[in-house]
Amino acid sequence: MARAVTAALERTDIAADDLGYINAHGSGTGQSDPAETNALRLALGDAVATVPVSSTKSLHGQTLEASGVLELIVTLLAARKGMLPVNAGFLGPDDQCRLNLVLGEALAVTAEFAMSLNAAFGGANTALVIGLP
Amino acid sequence: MTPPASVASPALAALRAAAAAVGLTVSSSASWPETDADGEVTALAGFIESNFSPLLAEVAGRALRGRDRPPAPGTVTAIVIVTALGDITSAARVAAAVDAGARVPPLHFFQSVPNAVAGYLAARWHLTGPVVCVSGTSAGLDVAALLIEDADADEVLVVRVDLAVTDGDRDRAAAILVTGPADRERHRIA
Repeated sequence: MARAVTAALERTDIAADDLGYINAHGSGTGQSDPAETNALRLALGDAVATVPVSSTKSLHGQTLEASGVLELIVTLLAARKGMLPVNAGFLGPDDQCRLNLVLGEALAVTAEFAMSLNAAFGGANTALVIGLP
Repeated sequence: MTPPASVASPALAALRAAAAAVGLTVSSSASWPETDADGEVTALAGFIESNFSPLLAEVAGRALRGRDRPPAPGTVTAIVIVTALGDITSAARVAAAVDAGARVPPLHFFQSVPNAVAGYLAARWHLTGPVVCVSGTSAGLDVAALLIEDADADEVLVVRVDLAVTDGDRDRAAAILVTGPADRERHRIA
């Protein structure tokens, strides 16, 4: 996942702190969420403290092979509206998942660039960066 | 003793044609059934009740074993899975279990994504390139060409699986290993 994030940023030719939003894979499992957190901390460096992150799977479910396109659409809409979805169903902080999570209510931001992350069974990881025109 | 008779593979022909259309070179290929000796596909540990992943692994293995020379160290091989309907056997089993209110075996969750088996392939054959799953043969070869052109991979293993959907039909699969046209010059010999 870290390699995918790094490669996507390099291809977009933007810095990590240019990202205004990350829609995480965030499937809510005990292994996947900490692994994704570690990947983001590795790939984003200091920017991980400021880039807002949320997973929307608790809203629309784990849609498996549809996750990539569904969450890319969510990411696009969030960036276009300048309103980031919350981590719905958040129960409390997890030391293994220390990210700048969107909590409580939707967050109004200007996100010129946003990233959608997904991980698949078998070890495939994707990081898609979108930019507003 | 009469050798097994070969079986024509429309899927393999389609893959070859699509590779030629985008200027890719086929360095190895395989299909299922390849001969009339291909009966039941060998089971694949971790995958149950469907031939989708075992078939994919079988033809991929045949194509990789069929290389005319071993890959050079550092060769990056991508995997492109082509499947119009995906693992419909698993999907039908899950749907039936859900409809009946029965417990769905956990392994069905894992194999419900068609490219789950790509992880097995990557580990088994040390393939370190990207994994992509698409629904059409032409799209699969377009992706393969792009991966090579973008230097994301030195070669691409393109595997197509078509599970039987009608009575009397049988499950079929085909695989090709492709390189770019310029790869003939820069191909690293082990």
